[in-house]
Amino acid sequence: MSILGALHNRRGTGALTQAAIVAVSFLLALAAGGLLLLMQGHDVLPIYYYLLIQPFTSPDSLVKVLVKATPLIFAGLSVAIAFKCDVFNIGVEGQLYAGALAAAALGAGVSGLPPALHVLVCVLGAMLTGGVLALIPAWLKVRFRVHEVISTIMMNYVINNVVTLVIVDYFRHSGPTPRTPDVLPSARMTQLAPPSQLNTGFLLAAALCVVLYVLVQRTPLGWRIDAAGKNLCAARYSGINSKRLVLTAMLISGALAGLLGAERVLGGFGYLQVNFSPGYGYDGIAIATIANNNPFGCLLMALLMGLLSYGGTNLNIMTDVPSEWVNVLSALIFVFVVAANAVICRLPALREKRRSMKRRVQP
Amino acid sequence: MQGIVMRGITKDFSGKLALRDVSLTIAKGTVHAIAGENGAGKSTLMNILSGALAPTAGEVLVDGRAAVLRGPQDAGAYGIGMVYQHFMLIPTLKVWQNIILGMEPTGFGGRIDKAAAIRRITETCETYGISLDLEKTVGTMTVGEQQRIEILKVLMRSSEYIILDEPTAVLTPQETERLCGNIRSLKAMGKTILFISHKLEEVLGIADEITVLRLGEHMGTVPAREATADRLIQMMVGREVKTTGYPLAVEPGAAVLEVEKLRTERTAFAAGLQDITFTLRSGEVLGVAGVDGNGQTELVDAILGMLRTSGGSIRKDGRELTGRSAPAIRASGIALIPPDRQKQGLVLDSSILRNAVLGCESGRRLCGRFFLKRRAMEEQVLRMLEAYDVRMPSMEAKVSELSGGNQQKVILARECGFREAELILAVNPTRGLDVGAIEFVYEHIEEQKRSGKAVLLVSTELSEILRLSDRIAVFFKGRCMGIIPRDRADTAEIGRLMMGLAEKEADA
Repeated sequence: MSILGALHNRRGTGALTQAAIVAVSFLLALAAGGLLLLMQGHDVLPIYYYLLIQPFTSPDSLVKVLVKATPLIFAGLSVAIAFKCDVFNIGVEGQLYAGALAAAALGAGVSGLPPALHVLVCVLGAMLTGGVLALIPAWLKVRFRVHEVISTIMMNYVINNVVTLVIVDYFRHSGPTPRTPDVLPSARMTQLAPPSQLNTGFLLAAALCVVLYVLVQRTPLGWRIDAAGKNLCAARYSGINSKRLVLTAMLISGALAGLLGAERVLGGFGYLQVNFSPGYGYDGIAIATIANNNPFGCLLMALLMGLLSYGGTNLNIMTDVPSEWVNVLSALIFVFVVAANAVICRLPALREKRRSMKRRVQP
Repeated sequence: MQGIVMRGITKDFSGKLALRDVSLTIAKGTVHAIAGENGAGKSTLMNILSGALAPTAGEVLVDGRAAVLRGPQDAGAYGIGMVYQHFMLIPTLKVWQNIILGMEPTGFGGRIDKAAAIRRITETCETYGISLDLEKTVGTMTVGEQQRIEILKVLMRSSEYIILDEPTAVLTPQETERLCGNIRSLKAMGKTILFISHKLEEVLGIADEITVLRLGEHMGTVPAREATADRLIQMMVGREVKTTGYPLAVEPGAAVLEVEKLRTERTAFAAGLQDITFTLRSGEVLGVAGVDGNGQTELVDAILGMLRTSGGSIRKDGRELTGRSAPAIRASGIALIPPDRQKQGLVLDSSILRNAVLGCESGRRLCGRFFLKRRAMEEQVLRMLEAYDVRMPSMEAKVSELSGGNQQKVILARECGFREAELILAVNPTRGLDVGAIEFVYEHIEEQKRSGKAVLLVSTELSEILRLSDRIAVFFKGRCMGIIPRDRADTAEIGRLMMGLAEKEADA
């Protein structure tokens, strides 16, 4: 559990401290990553140019960064709200597939609705599906004390394979790729910058950051989630219904994951494809952790990860460095941030230890 | 000189004095008991002796030599070994494997020489008259057997001084009997035994000398044959139990809390409640006295719905509480001053403001339809905290920055100020507070009583019980030994009931 403890960063460093930690970690990761490149005989500067500078040189590429960032914002928020309540939702990856399937089914199957209403129906359906599936591990946790890390991981396999089965056997588009039929035009989210995939889903994600911030900072529910996440025992003894809190936090988390799926289907592809997620749910864990579960931090981190992701495709085209190297870079950032948080968490204890060592009386 | 001398031992846990200038001499070849209530500093003192903790001041001499104890290894070198309350055994390994762990006799090519190991363990067993099946897997054995393994581990490391931390807390009476036999034979072989306990019967039964600690201070060391239970209780709960303070006289009103034949299951570590019956009326303080661990925690948890009851009923204002969820029970109007304020009472990493309204956020005064009324809340909390005289840098500061007394006042403000409750459960409300803060809490409880609230005061401080309670219920091993009106209360009588020495019919 100590690893999880370090991930959660329960002591909660302030937003500014955390921003400084992330900035320094980012620079350290760039340095370490650069060293790796040097050892392999690459020229570092052009690589970093294509990764970090080039995306800012044209509006077109900036839009692509936003497209990459959109699902990551949902993923980060989804994991963060559960983390806030000290629940580790690794099941975002499965919940988003379930939400995507619901969106695809409602988008292709329901007809005759006006566009805005149709989108709304699909989105709500996806959120409900994701939320309900997240409630299963939450209920197992509060009822039978099944640890959510195990149950959510297991459910990811179940959901992903069931969704694949449904697509391939029952709901398949008549083409070579295993995917669902296109959703009706009335179910498509409004495109903001065609031909890119940027759509109203991005605005929704940004707005949700504000909503979640208000939820956490300005409502009794948010305060209780925060209290239960920091000291469950005190929350229970002060009469807070901690079981219902866990269920609520997971419901919100799953709904956000479902929303991620809906955005991809209704705003991005226009259909649901087997294995479309490159691991958004797991990226969400990294984003929420680095952002210290702050909604706006999640937004910034998702944008940074989007930048790296887009820059990675750039590397593939413009240099001989494979885009996988970017994964190494983001993993390095993660490691540095988690290590820094772990050290900061232990600082008071370390200081105390040193003090008592000094005071030790030598006979 | 043979034996252990501890001189001027003081231990300061970042501002909280756990031990204050404790000096102690333990003669070689004796059984020495360290008695005292929970939180008296017994374990801290023994952890210093075993090297697990460093004292803030003071020194330890072993057999006349000044001992530098930087860790359990160092203590081992001086012949000091400790058996912890929670055993350090690997359940999947066999007995002999556990015993030799870390000192394995090796044969050819570094292989473990099992025959030699078994031979050495068997020798030790025979010397001290300990019987154990060495081939059994530890996880399948009883607690008593596991304890014998731990003792054997200490003996195999040729310890002269053996510390047992609450050795009987987990044992059945038969196992306790057997342990006492083992202790006697160890003593006969010239070993020195130190054991920690708060159970007086066994302390008197087996020790040669008894040291009593109270709130980190050494209250005295007496030879067991001169000691009596009464005298030890006096030393444990306070040399002079102040009988001058009398509770405020308030005419009691209607019954608020009615507990009838309440039972809970016994567990491995606790006796469970057995047919507890009492009635608490408004404007009344009922004190629950007893040595820690005799069912007081179970009573409070059962009322709060945090512990499943197995029989009987708990009614508040005539409505049944058993079977309802813990949050629903709290919402029915119960305030709680929990025993461990840092664990159960406060979220240390949160602001003072958030802690002051924890669990009461959605009340009308603090919250609108959807959102918290930030400004109104800040105003009210500030006024409340000022009324409770909380000294704080700002409301946004973390509650962990406050002193213990101020932390307790934050809890009082929340539970008695923001929570609408007719019943207050106060568990050791003044533990760890300084004199000024204690007086504040006392006055506050009287204030609540005057305003017609019913208070259930659970405390291990007898003076506190006598100072505040109109009636006193004495708990022993999960049973209520009697309920005594304050004007007929007598320290000696309560002390005897606390030890289960005489039973009196409950006149609830």
